[in-house]
Amino acid sequence: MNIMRINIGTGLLLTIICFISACGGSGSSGFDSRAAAEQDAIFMATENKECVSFENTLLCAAEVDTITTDIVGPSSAPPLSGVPISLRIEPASGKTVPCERTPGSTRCQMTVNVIANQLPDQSQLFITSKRKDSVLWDAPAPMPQISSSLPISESTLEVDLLRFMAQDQLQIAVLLYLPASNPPSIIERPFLSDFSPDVVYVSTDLTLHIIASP
Amino acid sequence: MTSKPFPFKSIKDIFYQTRVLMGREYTLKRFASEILQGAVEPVMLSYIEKGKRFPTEEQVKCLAKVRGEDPQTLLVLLWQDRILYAFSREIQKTIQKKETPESVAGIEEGMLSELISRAIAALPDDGSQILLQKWRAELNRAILSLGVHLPADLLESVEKIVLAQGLIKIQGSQVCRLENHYVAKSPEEKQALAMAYCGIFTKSLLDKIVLKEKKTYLRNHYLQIPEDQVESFHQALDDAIRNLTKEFADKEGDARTFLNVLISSTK
Repeated sequence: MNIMRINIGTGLLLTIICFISACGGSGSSGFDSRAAAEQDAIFMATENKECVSFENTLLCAAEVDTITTDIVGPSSAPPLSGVPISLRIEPASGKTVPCERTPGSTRCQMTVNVIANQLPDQSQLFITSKRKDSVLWDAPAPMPQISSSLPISESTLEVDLLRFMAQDQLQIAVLLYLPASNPPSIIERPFLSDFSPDVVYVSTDLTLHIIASP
Repeated sequence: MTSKPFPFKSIKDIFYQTRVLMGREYTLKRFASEILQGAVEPVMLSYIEKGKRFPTEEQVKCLAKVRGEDPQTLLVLLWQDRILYAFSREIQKTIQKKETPESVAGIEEGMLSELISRAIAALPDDGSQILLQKWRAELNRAILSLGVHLPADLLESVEKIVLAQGLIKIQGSQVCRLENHYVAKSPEEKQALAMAYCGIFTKSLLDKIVLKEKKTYLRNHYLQIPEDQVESFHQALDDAIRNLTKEFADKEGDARTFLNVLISSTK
């Protein structure tokens, strides 16, 4: 609580200083045309709550209802053709997400849920995240298997706070690999399509609400 | 003699500034004949001031003598302009942008990107709001520092781009930052950003090898690295630079100095 007060005080002081004198800010610029195109696709998908195709990968908003494997990538060709997929990711885009500080580290942990209504058996889910304007998605981590008897997969996502600053927003992506597809090798990649998933469910513009560990 | 850095970025501005500071009675004709002692024709001087022609090195040395300055400090501006001009012509071919025949291409193109950077840097990192009027005044100051004979709608163009890209938000009389990374998307924006990068590198190089400028940092750091670690290295580099720029931008004081930090890592 004391830390919170100090931070608010410092913020207020900074605002006053900014108001009366020139206040320094920072930023960056780049070409990053592939990254910009991926961000545009994510924006389009999440804004309209739909799926869009980007570099042969289907990017869907976290809240999208049902899609069929007819419109999924080439790896889900027959015998899975026409199989409906219905799952939902929480948190959805634009939410403020509680992230609990890991004691003795610069990280915090948040919970991501996948609720599946219809998903072929043996499908695999992986989760990855990044700061919105970062150059790299984290190495995807496998999520607990989903089955018809247990349609919810809950994962804990670790966020490195050293990479975050005020106003930074988080993006999370759940990668879906249908039974016939090969899951990713666990390395960081600059683009979601580099992981070659069948479908990606994305949640963007998440604001972290850091809470102290109990 | 002085080696004080100029607030202007192009040799054309130095010619114009010198004539204007001498008084209104110094027309192009009179300045060319009396002050520059016929080293340049009035028509050519007009072209030089508007950035349509480069002066010769001899003409620049002549101007340096008039100003009582070290010729090297002015020659550096000429060399910088020439490099940017050559680079602009070549990069134009790769970006497939229409030619810009009206002025000496390359020198002014980089200014748009520089101003976009300044527009972002003039807003607090924490996203808090400041007065729109104050922000525009800051941008106008930046435009004035970049030279003379600039397009009248520069401020509008910058504002339009940062708004369209969702980098800032204007609410009534207040403005705040939404994002801090600008991506050049259109061919024109790519050309402008390429020229801004080239301008930063060219200035750094000439500062170091000609002017021995102590306030410019230029080094090549190198390492042997496994191929599959290159992307992670770039991420770590990006994180480190972001943290550093944020830390120093946050320091208390009158933040009037705009510092460009150009990072490149390539095999």
